[in-house]
Amino acid sequence: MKKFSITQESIAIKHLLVALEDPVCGAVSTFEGRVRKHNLEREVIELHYESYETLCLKEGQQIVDEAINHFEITNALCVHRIGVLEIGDLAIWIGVSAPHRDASFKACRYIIDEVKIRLPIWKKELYVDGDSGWLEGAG
Amino acid sequence: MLASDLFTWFLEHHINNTDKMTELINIQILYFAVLKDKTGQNGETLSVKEKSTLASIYRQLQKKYDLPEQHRLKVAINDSFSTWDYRPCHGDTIVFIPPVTGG
Repeated sequence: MKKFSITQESIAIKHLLVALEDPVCGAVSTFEGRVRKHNLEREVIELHYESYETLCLKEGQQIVDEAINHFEITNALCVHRIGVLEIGDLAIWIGVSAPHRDASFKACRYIIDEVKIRLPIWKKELYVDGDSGWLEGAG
Repeated sequence: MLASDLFTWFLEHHINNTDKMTELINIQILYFAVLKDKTGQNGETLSVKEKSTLASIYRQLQKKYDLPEQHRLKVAINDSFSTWDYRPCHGDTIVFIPPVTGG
């Protein structure tokens, strides 16, 4: 299984959790980023995620590899969804397994923080009033 | 011929020859997100002077399409991040990367 992937479909979590299982790991940390209803006091209907896929896959793999090298963890996986997402949909899932909880928490945080500033992915919000716009900067 | 005329002739002659020697190369530009909206297309092929930097190419496009300021963007060439002073070669693919908002 690739450590970083992009999908147009709903992110299926079960098989990702199975892939993280390891008898030496006493900790599994996960992060779920979901589409929220409001942003900057405007009501959102849906989000449209777009990626520069080739570079995104390379950079995503690099981020996960960095987490594995920097922290005492056993495995890490990250999946980002693109396309049209509705309120509550899962946009990103990150899972980390490690012998102990401290490293798993830190690695999980590292991956989402780096994703937000490095991955060439953009989101466009569609609002209730019919307006829409590309967001700027990590949110 | 006055010395100043001779100097002017030399400059013009030299500049003309330099222009003739400057060859054009074709590069592919891909647009994403706000740049795709501003330009109204997924990408385009551009003919630019050989030895143009990515910064100078972006400046031309910025004026043409009213794109965001360069300092807010990153740039990639052939699917790898690059610096703005890089001079692309014929056939290279360039992507100007507006502020990212993944996650």
